[in-house]
Amino acid sequence: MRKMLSISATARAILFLLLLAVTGTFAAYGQNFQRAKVQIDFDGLTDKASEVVEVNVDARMLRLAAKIMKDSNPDEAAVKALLNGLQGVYVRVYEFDRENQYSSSDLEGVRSQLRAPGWSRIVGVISKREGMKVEVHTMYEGEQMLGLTIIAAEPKELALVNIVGPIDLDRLAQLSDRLGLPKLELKSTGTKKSNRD
Amino acid sequence: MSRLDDELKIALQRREVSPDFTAKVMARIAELPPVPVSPWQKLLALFRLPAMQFATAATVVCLVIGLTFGVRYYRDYQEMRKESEIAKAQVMLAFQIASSKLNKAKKKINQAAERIATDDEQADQQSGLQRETRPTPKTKQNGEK
Repeated sequence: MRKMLSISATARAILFLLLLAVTGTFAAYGQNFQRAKVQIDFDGLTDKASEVVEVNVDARMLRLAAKIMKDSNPDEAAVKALLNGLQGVYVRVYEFDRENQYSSSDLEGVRSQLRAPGWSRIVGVISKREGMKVEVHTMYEGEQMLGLTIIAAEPKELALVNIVGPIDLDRLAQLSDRLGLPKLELKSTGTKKSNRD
Repeated sequence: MSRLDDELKIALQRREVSPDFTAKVMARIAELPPVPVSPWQKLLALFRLPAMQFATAATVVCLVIGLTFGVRYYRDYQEMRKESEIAKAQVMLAFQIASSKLNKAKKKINQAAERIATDDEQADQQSGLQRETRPTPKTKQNGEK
């Protein structure tokens, strides 16, 4: 009897440890992605902007959205394919009536977070002629992508997109063709080289 | 004793019924025309049975509980559906914005790459022209330093 009791106690202990490990793994998995979430504090810009777009979609909302997205609809199917594994999507767009309504100091809070370990800037485009600046930052842990942040600063518009979770950049870029945005002719430089060769 | 008493005694004295009394009564009852009963009365009569009363009460309780939960579930479903529609619209908008900004950067990169490629081509052409105009150096003989 005592032996049986001791076995069941051992089994219970193993089960408890297993549960603890599973819970811990899930918690760590979620926390890992939370590192890629950028705290956006642009309160000062809301009053200055003539138009503000604010989108906050957490993991629960993403799951809800994915549930009702139809595979028969090509636009929805394309977006749905990107939602897999995502933990959140946060967007801020500020449109101003006049130029220079915001300064780089407004972005400092976000930029300081993007300087943290793990984040790296993969694209940085500055067009002085158009007064445009686009930056794409990604956060990786090993091979796994934890998040993406896009900052697009134009004279009369400031946009910030923070996607928490793994996302395919090429597929994301291709979305604009589907979602009714003007198609951009992306020319390959490789063909030119081969012709020259 | 008076005559009245005698008469009463005779009238009230116990008499045994004939052995076919019950049969006669039953036969008379069978001969009587049936009392007309409406379907409603028949139905109501059913509910007078205790088992039926219990079953009715149980059904009503079940219906009330079912309806309460059903209404609540339907409301929750409607709310969730509404929330999902809002989430879907937000997600579509978010990805539209993200995609357009990403494409803007991509377009600029492609323009820059194209410019570099054109510059390279021009530089190659210029160097090719210079090579053509310059006199070709003599090839070194074997062993010549």
